[in-house]
Amino acid sequence: MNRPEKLERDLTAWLADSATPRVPDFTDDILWVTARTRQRPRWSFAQRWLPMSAVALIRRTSKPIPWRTLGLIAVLALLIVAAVSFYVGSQPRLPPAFGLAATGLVAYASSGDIYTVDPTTGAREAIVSGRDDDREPRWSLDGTRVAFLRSSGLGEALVVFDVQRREVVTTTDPLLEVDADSIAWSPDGRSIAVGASAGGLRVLFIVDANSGALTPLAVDYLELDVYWRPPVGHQLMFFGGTGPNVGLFMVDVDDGVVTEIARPAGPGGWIRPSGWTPDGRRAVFMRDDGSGRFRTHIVDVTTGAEVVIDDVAYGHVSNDGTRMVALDVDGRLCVANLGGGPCVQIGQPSQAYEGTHAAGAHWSPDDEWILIRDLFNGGAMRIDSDGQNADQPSWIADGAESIQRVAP
Amino acid sequence: MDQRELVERAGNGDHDAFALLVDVSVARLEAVARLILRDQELARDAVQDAYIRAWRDLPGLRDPERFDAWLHRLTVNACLDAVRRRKRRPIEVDLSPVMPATISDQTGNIADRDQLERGFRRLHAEQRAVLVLHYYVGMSASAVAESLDIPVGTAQSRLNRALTELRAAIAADERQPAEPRAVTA
Repeated sequence: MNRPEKLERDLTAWLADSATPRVPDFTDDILWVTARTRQRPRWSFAQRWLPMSAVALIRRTSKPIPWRTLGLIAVLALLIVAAVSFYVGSQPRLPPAFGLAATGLVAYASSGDIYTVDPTTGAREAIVSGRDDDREPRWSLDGTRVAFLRSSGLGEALVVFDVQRREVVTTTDPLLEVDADSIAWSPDGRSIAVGASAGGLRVLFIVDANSGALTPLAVDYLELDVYWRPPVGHQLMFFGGTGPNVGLFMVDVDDGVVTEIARPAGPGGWIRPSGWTPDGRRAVFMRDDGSGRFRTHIVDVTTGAEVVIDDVAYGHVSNDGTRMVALDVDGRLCVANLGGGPCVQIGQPSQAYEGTHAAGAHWSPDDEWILIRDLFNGGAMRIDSDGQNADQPSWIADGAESIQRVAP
Repeated sequence: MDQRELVERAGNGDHDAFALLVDVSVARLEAVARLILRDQELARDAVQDAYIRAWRDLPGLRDPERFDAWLHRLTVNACLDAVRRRKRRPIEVDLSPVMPATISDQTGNIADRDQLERGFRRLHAEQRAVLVLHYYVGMSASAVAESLDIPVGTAQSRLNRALTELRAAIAADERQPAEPRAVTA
């Protein structure tokens, strides 16, 4: 027997000995996940529309090129382009996920139901009502769906509701100790980040917005709000770490790679994320150096270039990425330029927002005004971004928690 | 119920039919993934990814007779994805053998086994995949081509190339008897 034959025979025997087939212990896990995963509709597969000869060509066989089939594919492609163009043209325009947009409806929860109100006309509507106890609505960035928390005997489920179709898209399994601050829609609308407890730890879950499937991220998430990084949106900024190594990190949800953004200023210090500029280049966060002195940092995560604004905390970045509304050392509202300089006080001394709540303040999508959860008087308040006018219009009286972005 | 009918029913959303398909194939696919990846945890993730993708995309499978080849392709692709992801971040290396040798070992002496093990680990994952499909699953070159979605000629040349490199790796190993055991796949 020559050498190659022996090698092949030995390889066959060694492979068989090295991995005897055995039924693995994770079969039930596979079936659990797939039972909760929605199948792609049949029409969405291109090969379903093509003749078998064309499919065979796409498989890159070494057969001669069939020009007639290629011609048929070209005709089909033109028809598909025409159909897609017609379909896209007939669809309502959607706003960009980041940057300026027009202002749509304002969502809020009241008495366990979810409402929307039009800030222009004051028209109010209960979009989700019934016996369920629902709270904390959050508009998707394209303004088509609302996610909210629904109480159940075991905890709270995250529900995705399609506002145009007036139907629940999906409901997750119950989550324990959900942090409403952490609910964050991904820019493409396919996922929602949410922090909850599992196995005695805080866990950052990625929810499939279509199927409700929950995927825990393998990161040491601790608490607080999280922010998807513009413009692509597959990276999340979060507060996490273990022991002395806590800080702000960025995780790529596609490949799990974690990158450190910043640490607290020192022992006893504190750090909290405030968001991103819409170009995704700069991370905005606040630090307390342990002596009670606050600063807000605007850091270019590529170059490390940094702008520091002293005595300003709990900032919220405007949609155009040029300003932030924050609280100054006196606890007063102020607006600062992200390029640096003083934070200019706006509103009255009695007006401030709940800084430790991620939904404490919202810029309207057109940056014309700011919605605050009034820290001193309760309820919500609208204040012009230049600080000239602050009021509590009738539409805001029952609550205001999330603002819909619509196409300009 | 034959496999063709199960595939058709699963493609129409029948999850019980899909569960039967999983039952009859999961042991083989898990072994294939273990051999390609040489890491049990990665193999587990790859097999899970493959089945999730299979369930999601089954409505697009036009010819139910191709289900086995298609499932192998999904598994191999999931393994290659796992290798690419692993290259981008540090991992804990499992030094234990994928499966301990059994007393029914028919592959010759321990030195031959170790040489094969080391040589096999030195191959690229794509090369390990074609060898596993051909010499472990028992696929012909044309079946390997169908499973990997490549022309038959390419599959044949990959098989030959992988064998050549395996042979070269074993020869190099024989020249360095004191070389430490490789610890990465």
